[in-house]
Amino acid sequence: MYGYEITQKVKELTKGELNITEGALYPSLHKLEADGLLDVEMVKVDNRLRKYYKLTESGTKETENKLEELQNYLQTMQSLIGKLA
Amino acid sequence: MKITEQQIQELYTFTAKHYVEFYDVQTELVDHLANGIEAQWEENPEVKFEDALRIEFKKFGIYGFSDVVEQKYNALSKHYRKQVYKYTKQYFKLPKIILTLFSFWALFKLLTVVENKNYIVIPLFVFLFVYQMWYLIFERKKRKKIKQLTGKDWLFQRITFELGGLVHCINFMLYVPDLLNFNNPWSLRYQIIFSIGTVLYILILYVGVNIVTPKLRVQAQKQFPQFKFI
Repeated sequence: MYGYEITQKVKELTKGELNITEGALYPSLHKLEADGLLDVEMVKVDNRLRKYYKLTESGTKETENKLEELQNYLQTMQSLIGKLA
Repeated sequence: MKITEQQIQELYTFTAKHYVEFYDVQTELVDHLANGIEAQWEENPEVKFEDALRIEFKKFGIYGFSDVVEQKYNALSKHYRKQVYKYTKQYFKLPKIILTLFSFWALFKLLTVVENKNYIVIPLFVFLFVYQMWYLIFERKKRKKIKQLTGKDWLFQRITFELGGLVHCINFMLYVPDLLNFNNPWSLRYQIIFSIGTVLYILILYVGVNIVTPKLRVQAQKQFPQFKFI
């Protein structure tokens, strides 16, 4: 996927709940690319060059780890709030 | 309605005017702006190109493109240094560690044998200084040549020129005489620190200049095959 496509796809899939701003998207993509989590390819589309991103193998693993971390965090918070309530 | 070739060039000029001097960064922003403008035209074909562009640019926030450029520069510099670290680590694993340890020992032995340390320290510093200067001049020429050939400035070129920020090590060399008191006899600790520090310094420089810089150039070549960097 390319940058613009990501912003639109996220908006569409979350029905506008999540809005990735352009100023935040590209720095994040560039950081992930530099960390080796994203692979890039430049493709000529119409009259311009387009940069496509895709997850590398380590990027896919990292995504799974981060999601698991997030789920664990949410579970901990839910159980904590449940006990405190 | 689609963006014309001339409008694409206008977008490149627009990004340049907003302090994005590197083509490898401009290209992605140009495509993004073009996509946004085309999406606006799909909804309302009457919107003028300039107005649509203004709306798209506003989406980048009050800092415009500066955050994108700065973060990209930081990310690529960090990537360069990480690569240097990765390849330098190999010199501490078999079989290369033998050479590394031998270099530490050889320099240390020389320092213990030669009474006047200046006979070792001065040639070493001159060699390191000349080596770094040679690299900077070589990279500067290469950067100019690539700019002449492609007609563009490239961020990756700036990163390799600065060795991902490691070029500031040159400044560190200026403080070494203060750190190590050359006029007094050296203690064992001084000799060990100097031997390890110097070999590490040479290793890091060697890895940056001979391994990471060419790799980054190959990577850029892969992304932009229509240009010639190698």
